Amino acid sequence: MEAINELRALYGVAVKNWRIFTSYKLWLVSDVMMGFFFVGQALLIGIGLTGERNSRALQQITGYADYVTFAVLGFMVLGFGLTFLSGFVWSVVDELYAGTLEYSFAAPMRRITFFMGNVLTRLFLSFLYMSVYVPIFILLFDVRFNFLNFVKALPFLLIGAVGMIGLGMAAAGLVLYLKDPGPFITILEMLVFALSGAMYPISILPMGLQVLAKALPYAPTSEAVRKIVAYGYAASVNEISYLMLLSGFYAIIGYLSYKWSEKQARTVGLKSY
Amino acid sequence: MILSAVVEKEFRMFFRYPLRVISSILVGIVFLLQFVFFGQAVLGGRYSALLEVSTGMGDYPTYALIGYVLWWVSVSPMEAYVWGVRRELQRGTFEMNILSPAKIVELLSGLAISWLLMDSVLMMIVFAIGAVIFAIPLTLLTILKSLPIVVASLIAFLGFGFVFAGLVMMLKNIGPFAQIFEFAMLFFSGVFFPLNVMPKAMIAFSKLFPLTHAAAVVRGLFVGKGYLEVWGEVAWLLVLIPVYWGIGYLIFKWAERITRVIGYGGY
Amino acid sequence: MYAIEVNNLKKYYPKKIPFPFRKVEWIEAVKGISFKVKKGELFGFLGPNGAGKTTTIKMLTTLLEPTDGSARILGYDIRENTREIRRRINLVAEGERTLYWRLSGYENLKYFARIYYVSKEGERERIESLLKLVGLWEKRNDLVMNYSRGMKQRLAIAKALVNDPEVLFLDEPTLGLDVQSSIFVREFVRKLVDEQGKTVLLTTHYMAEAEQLCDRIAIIDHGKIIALDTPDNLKKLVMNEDAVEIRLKGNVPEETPWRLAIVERDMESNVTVLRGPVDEEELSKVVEWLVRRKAKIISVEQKEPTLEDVFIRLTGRGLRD
Repeated sequence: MEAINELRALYGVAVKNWRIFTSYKLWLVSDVMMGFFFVGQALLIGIGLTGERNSRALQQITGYADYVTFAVLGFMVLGFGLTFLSGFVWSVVDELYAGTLEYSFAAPMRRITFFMGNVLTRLFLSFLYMSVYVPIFILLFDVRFNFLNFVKALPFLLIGAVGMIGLGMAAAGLVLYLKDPGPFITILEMLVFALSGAMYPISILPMGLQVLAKALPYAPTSEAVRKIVAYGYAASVNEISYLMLLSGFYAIIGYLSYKWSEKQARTVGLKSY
Repeated sequence: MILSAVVEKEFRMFFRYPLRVISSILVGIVFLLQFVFFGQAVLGGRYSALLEVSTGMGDYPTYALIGYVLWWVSVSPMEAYVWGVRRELQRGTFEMNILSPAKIVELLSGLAISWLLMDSVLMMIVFAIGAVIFAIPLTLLTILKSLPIVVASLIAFLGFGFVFAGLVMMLKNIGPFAQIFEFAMLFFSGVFFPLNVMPKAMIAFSKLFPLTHAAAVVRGLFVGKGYLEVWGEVAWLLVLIPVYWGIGYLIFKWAERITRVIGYGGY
Repeated sequence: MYAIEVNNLKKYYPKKIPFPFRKVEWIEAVKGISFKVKKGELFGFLGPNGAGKTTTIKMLTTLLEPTDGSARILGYDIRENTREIRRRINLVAEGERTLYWRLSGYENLKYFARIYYVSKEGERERIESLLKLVGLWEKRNDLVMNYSRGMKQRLAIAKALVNDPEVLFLDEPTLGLDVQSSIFVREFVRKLVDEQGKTVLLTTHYMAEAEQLCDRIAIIDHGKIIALDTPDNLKKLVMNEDAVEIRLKGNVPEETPWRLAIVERDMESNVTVLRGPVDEEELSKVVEWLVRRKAKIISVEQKEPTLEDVFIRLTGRGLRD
């Protein structure tokens, strides 16, 4: 019975977010166009610089000659990964700015239900966008990858997601404390963008940034997914092992730090904007 | 007096939260890095012979940085009007400003200028960081020669930005519309890639953007060309300025008329 | 000369943005109101939510274009002379989000002083005197986001006096305030009229506030003025009809055939209060009617008529409906 109540609450949060987001239809359009913008840019940059669709330089570093496919895969993993971060942190900030955070937190539903409801909406949107992007990218930009291998890579995308959820929880805990959380979240998102390896291999970054990139769950997930798609499981054992270890680490750290922050927030009080 | 009052107010609020300044700078840098690193990964270095043949400039990081900074300067006025007005609406203070005897044009210009000034500071920091990261060869002379073009591009969009000021007053939430426009401009002005890779019709369309010509001029100056050699692009830019102001003014006046009927408040 | 003259003012809102070639439906918010306010008068607009009070104020303060009709503020036309009007008036708008929360109290007043063209020489003195007047001098450097609701409203009043306006508009000035803050605001507003000779137009849906403060009151409902006079004269409309207050346990069984409105509904104690102008002869019929419908009567009292009774008499509804 309790489980059913919790599921209903989860559904309620997800539907609420969906309704709010879709009430601004232009945001949907703008969001969808971002995907085309990024991939379109990647294609035109590549052609403008090399005159060719394939890059030998890129192949040497990553195993991917087709830079558009490289960018599309990275973009998909990043988009998927960001739903967790956004779902955790922006949900707190949006409710804070709307003045409804205290109401949501005072309700008997579990806090994790609140966050996962937000994540669910963003995931759904993410899949919706992908269902629009992927066929169009394949048709328009002639993107090709081994679909079977992509399906094989999915479980490791989900394992990476565990780490991303952990990071999201730790960030959400911090956000409860800050008077003006918006800029903090923007900084975090920018770090993720820069160090995710979505548009470029992290090996071209300076060593210090490479280490930082490998310490976050995004780049290892992108690398594992790309390698499995290109070469299969056997060739990707190192990437897979590292990813599993990292995700486990973030899951534990995320959970513990969130619980501690929540306790502190109850002592200090939730901020109002 | 009104302009300085608005500028002072906006500056106080912005710089009161240093984290906002840092996050703005980081957004600027990361966006640039995405495409420049991508280009470098594809090239296996920074030089593109093809780029040099088509644009006169073969160093991709320099090419991208110039285009990006000019794009930033161009969208600044629009951002200023859209987000400046929107923030006032969100705060609930827009009506209080309209209520005063200060002219609405002065108030909006104050918001635009304050945002522009803040943005210019941020843009210069991003430019400096980008120049350091990618070791862009800069000379004071080149920068000084480029300044008139930067200012001209800014002036064009200062006028055009009134379109967005009007629309945001009227429609309240036009963030996505502005974003679409900004990114469309980034795309069609060849900020990160040479325009010759696009179909002819799109190349022709791109000529309608002042940014397209400003970027071409500044890139030309950077590779040692003089103003006479790029006079065609300069002429285009100068012609577009009054056109953009005209469009901006007409649409703003129309939107203002509608807003007086539906009300200034209610975000 | 009157401070405010309004002649058949109307306001219709479009349901959608009126783009060219688009068919638009209109919502009638103000349906033709006329009144005059003398200089140095405290004039009230009393009515329930959605009556058209805020829309009227916005038109008179030049924030909204009227659909039809005309109005003059200190002799200036609200359509033709907006800047002249804006120099001479100010507004305390409804709600607490009309100030810059990320600025201090002092900084807020400094900004508004400048956009109201207060001279640089007089600016400091004006701000200091206003902050002291509203009791916020000690808190002048605190950010507004850290002010209480009452403090924000006091600062909003200070902001509205920054240009020493001849006419001051207040839109629901005590809404959401605690008792102490409400008392402060009311006394302050009264002093502005009595001691400084300002003209004040305030809107409220609190009848006690209107009764206590206003020299004259216009009762507005559904976009029209249904009565306009001094509070005493308005109450005379129902003077011959005593107001009866009936307290019931639970709900009213059905709508009564007399002009009785539900003026209070306490969920905690489950008590409903009916009120309305009912004379002595009819009272026994009312009680009998309620008893037959198995209503649980707690008490029946005859009261002095109030403006609420005037409103009920004129509209058949309570101010809180």
